[in-house]
Amino acid sequence: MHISEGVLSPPVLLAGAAITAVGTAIGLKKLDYDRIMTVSLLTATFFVASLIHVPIGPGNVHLLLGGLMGIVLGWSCFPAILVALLLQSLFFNFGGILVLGVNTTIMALPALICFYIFRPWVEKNGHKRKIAAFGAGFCSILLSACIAALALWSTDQGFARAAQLILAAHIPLMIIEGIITMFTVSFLAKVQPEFLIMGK
Amino acid sequence: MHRITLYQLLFILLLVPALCSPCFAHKVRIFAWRDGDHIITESKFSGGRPTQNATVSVVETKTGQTLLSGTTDRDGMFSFPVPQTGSKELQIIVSAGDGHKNNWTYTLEDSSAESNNTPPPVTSETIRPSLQPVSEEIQEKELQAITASEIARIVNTALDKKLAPIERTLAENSDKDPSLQDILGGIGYILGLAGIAAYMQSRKKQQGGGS
Repeated sequence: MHISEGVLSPPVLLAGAAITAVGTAIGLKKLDYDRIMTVSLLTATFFVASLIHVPIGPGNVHLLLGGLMGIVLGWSCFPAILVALLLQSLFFNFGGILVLGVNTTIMALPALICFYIFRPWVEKNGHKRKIAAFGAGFCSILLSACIAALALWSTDQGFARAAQLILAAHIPLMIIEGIITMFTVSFLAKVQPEFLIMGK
Repeated sequence: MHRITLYQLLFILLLVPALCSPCFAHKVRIFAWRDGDHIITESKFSGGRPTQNATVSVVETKTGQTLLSGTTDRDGMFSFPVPQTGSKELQIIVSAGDGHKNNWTYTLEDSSAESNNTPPPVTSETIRPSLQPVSEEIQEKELQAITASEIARIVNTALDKKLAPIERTLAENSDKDPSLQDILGGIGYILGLAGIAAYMQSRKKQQGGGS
């Protein structure tokens, strides 16, 4: 899901950077003292999760955990994902500095959308929470793939082929992320409920 | 209680591979080496999976002109004959189509240097015995000269063949996968940033309380 340097055109890069700047500013403003450790813990998780490789399906994909970030962090997922992606591009050579804005948008915007759709259900008990967590994990990847394909619209192979490639590669990941998010959220709800309730 | 231990186990299972197998990553990489009169390129995702049906294009670094392009096969390989151009540096670019792209700089220097260096010593050897009028000897020397260049050529091709796998391994290893140090370093940075954020917030609180 990390788009490489030199693939996208300047308008796309600028649009991504603008969305990321706005999201990060709002996210930092909403970040209060008590949640700093939660945000940094999930940033570290996101940073490491992309090294877990899912060898199923036609493509080569790794975990993203965007849904989990969104559900727990809300708007703060923007600064969290920005920092994690910056470190990934510096340490692992994933993506790049110039495409940082676009890559952050690809992963953080779906997380935020999932926060607004699924967060109310996560706060409820029982099966509703599990279904909502699965939905968040599933939809965050689906939306990320769609936004990535949109960003690739302007490249030489066009939207249709990029969308086809990315969606096909990420279908197994959607299900896996859904399951992982479901287990993680219900685990956190049992063991560390205050970790989840903080995301307002 | 049983359920909690199950979830805990799953959570640990999720974290363990993250620390133990840092070789999985998601970016495309390409590397190239020379085998005789062909340049062979191999592309793969750094998880180790070959990049199939990816576009590979060869660009002259100086002029920015695309010399040739093609697609990788099932094993992520693509080979092309050594291009006859003036410039010594080539950019070999792979594009996987889903936003992943990388390049490899290939230098043609070594091969052209070899072909330029072999003839001069042969001519200097053949000039020296020209003082003697015996024609047989000259022929013998010429024969020797021919065999010397011939031998050089044979040795070169043999070396090319022997060295190709070594060159491939060298090229493959030039791009390192994330190591444990990288991961721990990144986590350290995140904790440091959290510390800075906490410090700023606490200062804000203190200032707000004081005024």
